[in-house]
Amino acid sequence: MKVKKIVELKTQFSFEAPIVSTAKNIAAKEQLKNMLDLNTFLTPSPKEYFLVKVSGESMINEGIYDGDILIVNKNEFPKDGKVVIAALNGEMAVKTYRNIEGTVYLFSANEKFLPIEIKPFWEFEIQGVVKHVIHKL
Amino acid sequence: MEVIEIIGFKPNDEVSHKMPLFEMSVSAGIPIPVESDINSEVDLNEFLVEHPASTFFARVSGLNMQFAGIRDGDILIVDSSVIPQDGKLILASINSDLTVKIFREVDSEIYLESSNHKFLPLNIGELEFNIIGTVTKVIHSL
Repeated sequence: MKVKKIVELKTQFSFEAPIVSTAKNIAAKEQLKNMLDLNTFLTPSPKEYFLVKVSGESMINEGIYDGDILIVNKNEFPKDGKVVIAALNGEMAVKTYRNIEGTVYLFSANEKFLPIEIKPFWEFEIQGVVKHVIHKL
Repeated sequence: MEVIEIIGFKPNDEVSHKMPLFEMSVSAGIPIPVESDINSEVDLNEFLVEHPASTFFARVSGLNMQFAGIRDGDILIVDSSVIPQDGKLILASINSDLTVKIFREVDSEIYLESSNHKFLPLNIGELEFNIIGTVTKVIHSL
């Protein structure tokens, strides 16, 4: 996994008036029963999570697109069919984890790549299970 | 029929909450070497929401097909201060029903494109339209 700093945190927000400022809209906003904090919702226990920004198109079949942000839980035990971040012989990849009768396979979302069967002597580790995909429009 | 539930944005400022962010290439499906020396840390409330005062969420349920990359149960981040442009996903109300449509501007006429690719012209007299905001991000939970 190539890692580099990609964001500069914004220190100042600009507050702009909504383009639709109908009374109904504002009233609806104030009466909202449900409120959401993104940190609590996406990463309920911060120490268990990390974020990955993916580049490349090879996970499109899993609904993961170039530039998407993955929210990954590093403590969750992977179950069959889950999308995981896997480290294999020192290399990292986003794959679908399959456990078929005790044998572990890593599937690519791209049909061009055959599933990888994990052999016992391989250096293999699941870095985490992808819990959320955030796609920017 | 899609059901859209509006959820307000209420960041909890009391706890500082920084998540490590890594960048990873999955191009060509071939994994690339691990190099986890530098990372940046982000607060998701700040990282995903540009205008806190005008941002809220819309949870979409009852979708029987994928529409513009949105799947059933996804949470949309909607910013009512972002002026929609052609091809952008918007949250609108039509006769006080909430709906997600693609904003289309053709020859300076505005249309709303729905999942069946029909263009709904905005200048129909009987319908009451409001564009509530532009969808800036989609959160899909696996």
